[in-house]
Amino acid sequence: MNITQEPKHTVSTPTRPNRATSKKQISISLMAALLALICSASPGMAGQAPVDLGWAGSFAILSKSGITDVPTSAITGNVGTSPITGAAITGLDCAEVTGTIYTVNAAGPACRVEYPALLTAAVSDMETAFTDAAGRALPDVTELGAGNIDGMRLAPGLYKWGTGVLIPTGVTLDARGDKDAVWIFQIAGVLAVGNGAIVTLSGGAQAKNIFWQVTQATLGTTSDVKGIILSSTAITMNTGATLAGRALAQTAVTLQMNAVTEPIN
Amino acid sequence: MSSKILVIDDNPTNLKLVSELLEFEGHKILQAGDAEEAQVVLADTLPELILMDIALPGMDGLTLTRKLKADERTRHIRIVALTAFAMKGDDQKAFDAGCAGYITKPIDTRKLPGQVAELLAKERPKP
Repeated sequence: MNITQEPKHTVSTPTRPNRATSKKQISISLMAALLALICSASPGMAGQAPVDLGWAGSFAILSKSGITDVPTSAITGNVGTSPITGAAITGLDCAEVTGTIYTVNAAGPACRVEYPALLTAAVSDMETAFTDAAGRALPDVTELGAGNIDGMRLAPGLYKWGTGVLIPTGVTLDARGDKDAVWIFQIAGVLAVGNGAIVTLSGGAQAKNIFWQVTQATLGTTSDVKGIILSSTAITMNTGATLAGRALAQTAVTLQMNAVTEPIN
Repeated sequence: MSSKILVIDDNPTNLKLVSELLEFEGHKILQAGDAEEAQVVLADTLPELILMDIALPGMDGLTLTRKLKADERTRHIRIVALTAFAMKGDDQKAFDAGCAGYITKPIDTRKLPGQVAELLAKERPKP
């Protein structure tokens, strides 16, 4: 298994002490062993295929029940709401979006483009993608950290929790040189990212291949998150939070001076 | 610049949306839901570009591409693979079959018109 947690303190009690070995040397040996574990291959872990987003993959933000923004946010990618009307996009100015704001009717920001067929397809594909992510079987890891994955360094794979997941300060996703590496996080609760927390990508990991399947997501103030958030309800981005990925919510998306940048496909 | 483009996709939603997005750009769009239908269209009209879904029922997109590239009448048409799962090596398979380009789904509505324009601007293969 490739899941490893960065040691937060030195282990200094070896099980088979050598009288000639100092405690410091033992600690160094154990640290080396831990590092070797971090870098070791994982024969039991099958690579996951990415979740097919379909037309939802054309959106940086997609919501079924509305988007509320406290300006100024910076969205790179398309924005859309459906089935709710464009009137449910509030506070978001055209100048904040580098992309197109799609609506199902002639309401919403002045620059909106009415394209109900695209939005219907995208919302349907968003729901299918959620179901796909939630339905992936045989997780590599379950209940990691009892839902608190703070400070961990996670290898690609399928992770499952029957609870919410907390990231108080940060987590690292390490692809170990495989740019196609995929992470799918099945979270049967809220993804709560702490204020200032950072999701760090390492070893060639790409935001487009990281999928957070959640019942709800709250990104703390100035947090820095990467990946595709597939939420069965709301996605809330607190003041100054950034997302390199997509916010695909089956209820509302709330923004407050955020940056959302769609990943490069 | 307006061009004649044949979109081949067995998914009706994809066929409709890709066609509409390119029609918005002023292109004339021909449609086919599978390889057989595409060949019927091509017997009548030759487009400048074909957007070819790879995973077609019956004859798949790569086989159809090879067939069109082997035919003197159609070998000059630029063919671009359009496929859902970008797995390792898929792009090379498309190029080996004779595709001039490769667009992976999910399709980015912002980028598709530019990608198509770029492919249309490429020098046409000699007949």
